[in-house]
Amino acid sequence: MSPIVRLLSYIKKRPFFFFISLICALIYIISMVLVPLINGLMVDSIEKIIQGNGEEAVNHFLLLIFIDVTLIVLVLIFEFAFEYIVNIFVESINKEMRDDLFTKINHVSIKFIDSHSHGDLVSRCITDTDNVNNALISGFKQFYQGIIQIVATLIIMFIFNWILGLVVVFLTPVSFLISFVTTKKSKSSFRAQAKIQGDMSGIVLEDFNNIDLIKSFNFEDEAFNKYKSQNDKLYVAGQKSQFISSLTNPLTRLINNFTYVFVGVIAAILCAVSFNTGNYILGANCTVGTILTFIQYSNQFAKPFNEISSCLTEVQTGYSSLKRINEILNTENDVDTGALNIDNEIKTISFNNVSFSYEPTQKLIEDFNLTIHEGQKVAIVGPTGCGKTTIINLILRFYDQNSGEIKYNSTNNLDIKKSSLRNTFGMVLQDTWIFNGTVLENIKYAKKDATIEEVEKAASRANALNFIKHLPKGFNTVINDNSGLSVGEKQLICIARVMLVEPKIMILDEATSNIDTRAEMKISSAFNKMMENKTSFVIAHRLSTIKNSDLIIVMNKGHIIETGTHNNLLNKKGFYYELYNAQYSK
Amino acid sequence: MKINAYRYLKYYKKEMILGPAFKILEVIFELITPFLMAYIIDTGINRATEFNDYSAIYIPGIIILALSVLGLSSTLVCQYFASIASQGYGTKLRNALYEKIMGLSLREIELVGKGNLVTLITNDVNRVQLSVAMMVRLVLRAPALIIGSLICAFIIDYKFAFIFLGVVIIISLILFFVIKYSSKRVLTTQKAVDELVTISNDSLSGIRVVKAFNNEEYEINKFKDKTSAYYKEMKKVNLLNAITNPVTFLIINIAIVLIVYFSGVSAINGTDLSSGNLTSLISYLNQILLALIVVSNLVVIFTKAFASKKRIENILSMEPSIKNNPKYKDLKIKNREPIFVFKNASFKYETGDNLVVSNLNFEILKGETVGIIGGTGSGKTTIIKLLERFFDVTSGHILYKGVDIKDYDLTSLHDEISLVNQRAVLFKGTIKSNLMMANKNATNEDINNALKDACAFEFVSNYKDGIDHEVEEGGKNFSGGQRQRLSIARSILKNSEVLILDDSTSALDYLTEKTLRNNLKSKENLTKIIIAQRISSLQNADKIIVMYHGNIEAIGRHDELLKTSKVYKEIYESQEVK
Repeated sequence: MSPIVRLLSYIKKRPFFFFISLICALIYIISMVLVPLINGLMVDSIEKIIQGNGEEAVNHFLLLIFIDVTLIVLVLIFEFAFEYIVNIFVESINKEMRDDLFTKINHVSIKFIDSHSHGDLVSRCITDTDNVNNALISGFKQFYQGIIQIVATLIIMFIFNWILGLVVVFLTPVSFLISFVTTKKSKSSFRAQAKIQGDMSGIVLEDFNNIDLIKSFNFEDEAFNKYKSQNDKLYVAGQKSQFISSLTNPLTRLINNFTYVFVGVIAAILCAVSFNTGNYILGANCTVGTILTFIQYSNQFAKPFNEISSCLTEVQTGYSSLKRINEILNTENDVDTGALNIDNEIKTISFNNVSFSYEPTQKLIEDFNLTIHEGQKVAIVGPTGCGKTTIINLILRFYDQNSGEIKYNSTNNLDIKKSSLRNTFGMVLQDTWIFNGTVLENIKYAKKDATIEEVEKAASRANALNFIKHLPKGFNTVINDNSGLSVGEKQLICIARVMLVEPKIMILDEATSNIDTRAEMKISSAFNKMMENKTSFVIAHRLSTIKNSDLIIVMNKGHIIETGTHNNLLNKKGFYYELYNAQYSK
Repeated sequence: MKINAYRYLKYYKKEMILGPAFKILEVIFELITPFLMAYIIDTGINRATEFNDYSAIYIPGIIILALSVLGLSSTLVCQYFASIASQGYGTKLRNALYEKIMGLSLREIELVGKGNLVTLITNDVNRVQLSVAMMVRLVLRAPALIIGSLICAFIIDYKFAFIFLGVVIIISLILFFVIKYSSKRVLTTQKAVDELVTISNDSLSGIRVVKAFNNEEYEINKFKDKTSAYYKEMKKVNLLNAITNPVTFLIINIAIVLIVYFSGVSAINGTDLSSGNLTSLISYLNQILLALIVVSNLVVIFTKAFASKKRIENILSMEPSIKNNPKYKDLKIKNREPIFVFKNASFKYETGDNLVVSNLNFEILKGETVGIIGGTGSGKTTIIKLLERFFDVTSGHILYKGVDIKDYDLTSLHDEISLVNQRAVLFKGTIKSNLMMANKNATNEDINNALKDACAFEFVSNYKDGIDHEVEEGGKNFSGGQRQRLSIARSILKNSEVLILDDSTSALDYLTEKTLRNNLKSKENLTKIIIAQRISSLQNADKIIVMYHGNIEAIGRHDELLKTSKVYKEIYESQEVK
């Protein structure tokens, strides 16, 4: 679907809003354009009163006042209605777009998520939708309203006095041109400025975050000089862009003054001539009231032009954001071809000649063969980048193998429903995941209907109950990733979360590097409880924790190079032996 | 000492005075224009009809044109001065702020927060800078237009001028209300957006967990609840936005109707307001409206700028808590003489209630290798901060080379100590520029030797451009282990007396770490202080300090500690296979 079609599909769902806003806009703009005309007529009718036209003139004058007030009130009501309806209309599109985007993000494949920066996806959900929102609002308010206003004013001016109409029509687009040119100029100088500012924030961020290091190297002066030279560049670019962008208003004022003078002078001449000769020049009626009317038109007529030129940028930004949004919405959902449920106990999991790579050019796992039996504790070890984590991605079907088979009992993994497969496993990853919410919500994440007793029991088995009780509001304390919980505590909550559902098979990506050893002991003991009598996969970083495994798989560069128990492997004096000795050598 | 952030305006006195002066010139021209137009309409048309003399129409016209051109030129001068003054001021303020922040001690920096400091020197300075531009460009212009228009209205006819006064008051009140209400709303909508961001971030970072628990729909519903809340909030905001324009239109036009009506009434009574004057009154009314809108924008700009200015001034007025007292410098001591002595040293953050470390007593000898181990929050890194004198002890003493560390020249102290911190930070530039930070006079040979000592030579020489290889921001084009090795090389290159490794080998594999340890061991005069999580990183140290909840639990060699220290033994057992 193209971006425009996508946008139209959102608009089409709200025909009511669309037509009502159109009607409101027509009513209020036409009323608004008529007001200066009536003002002029009122001035003329005062002239008539002065010339002594008696009762008739007075009544005429009062009628005009009544019409004028009516028009003003119409503008009040319908402009308000128009603005409000447009805002609501656009905001409701904004909401729906955000919902659609977020839904899509939850339904696309993990591969898609992994290959996009998370910050970028979030900004598509939040900032880009906002940009589209702004573009739509100014599109409706400035563009659509501006065009109606220009057309209506043109028609009335030409009917009323075409000579003055021509003067206004020739002069105002000049002001449009000026604001267009200066906007364009200042945009390019703003870009230059923004680039330098970006570089400077980078420098400042780096320097302030590492101020201890800078101090310890006595590097303050050099750092300052680097900053200063960027700051001098910013001065040059900033001064230029400030000056250019401050030209728009005075230049527009100049053109407005020109229009004002020409309208005033030409109208005055027309008045005098028609008074002298008793004829209208070329049929153009002109009175003092006309002058007043046209002076007001000349003020108003420039406004929609300037607004349209200033909203062009917003529309451009909005369109490129719309393309970015559309890109996500056009992504295919992750389709699940599997239809079978896992009902029975899983007796065996077998990998037959499995190959997989994230990038076609870089082979990762090749001809992987392995069979695991119920109740086995399996550990996978190996250096970073050897493919340990990839095995988990395949087991849970976050990714599908390129070739070969993975079988649960005798069923092919591709034939099993993803949801059913994932229900069978419990997973604790090295990157602990805590979302913004209470401790209770975080633990109940996998089982929404769990009772508080069940949650407490799970927390207690995960060795987490103690510290949770010491939090300010216990289970109801709101936590998030940065709320001051230690990595170890966060890990314990994640374990409790899995404990609550009692999955049949466990997958653990053992967390180590940032946890201090005492906290780690608590975690390992929780891990051990969780794995009791279950099939389990442990990705091990520290060899001490896996020595009791039933099967240790040593991986290197995508292949299994050794398998066996701890003692077996040590006796082999192979790769495992080397790894082990490097870790515990004196 | 309280410092006014506007003090740097003193360099731009000329611009700050001449700019507004030129602007006022334009205002005067603008105020004269409607008078001339009234003259055209009243006198000009009359003379043209009575004497067939059109000069009273076109001569004032030409004068208005001339005045507009003059007005434009004087405004351009003003805008130019404004851009010089505000951008120049911003530049000076940024420099001053940067220098100030660099001179602050870590205590103040941690108190304010590094992120806040970055915002301060970017966004806050920009806001104050904008306020300076507005001072030159608009602060005098807008009120002068309003007051000038009012005065002109009084000159034309004082009765009508009261209508003007009424309009000014009512519109000011409305704008005031709008500003007040909408600035409150801005906060609540911002909060609603922040919640959306939080939820999206949460789900994305945990997408595997979300999917593993089949919780996609739950996440979607959570998000939809928040977008609904946001939608509701925006409905309220938009109500206000939608009503502002129409109401302003109403007031101005009712004012026009009133003026016309009263002039009609006075015409009926025989006294009249000339049409020319009526036209100029309406022009003044429009000018007042535009100026009031400008004023309301100015109020918003200045409210923000003053808040920013106050934050900036807080920083500018801060005094570094660590004062340099350079009584001693460049002291020389012999090997195995005490280089650091901690005597009952305790430390607590001003904002905290509890001591972070208490009653530390230990010695470090020159040339020794000292290990420090303990859980997170046990106070290991605090010891380093005290050694570097990023902080001063709350009580007790630290002696450096036999004198109080507070009396030792700070620059000299930092020259003699070399720190590799946990984050293994590299700066944008090249490998060479990063290493040269530590030693400006280093030759390529020195650099290569340092790289070899830090086990980094091999991977660096694999780059085509070797040590000139680019380092991206934050060193993100290197792996964690490579970054650690490069930052260790940098500290070795410094050629200082003390080398501190603060948990900076955690990403190295065991073999590499072992080689590194051996390389360091051969530097006999170098005092090595190693903080680590792994026992293997420090079990060969001459002395190991075991920290537990801010106290020293035990000090000794590896085999001694296994007997005497409960904490050490626990740590050992959790890592060792028996």
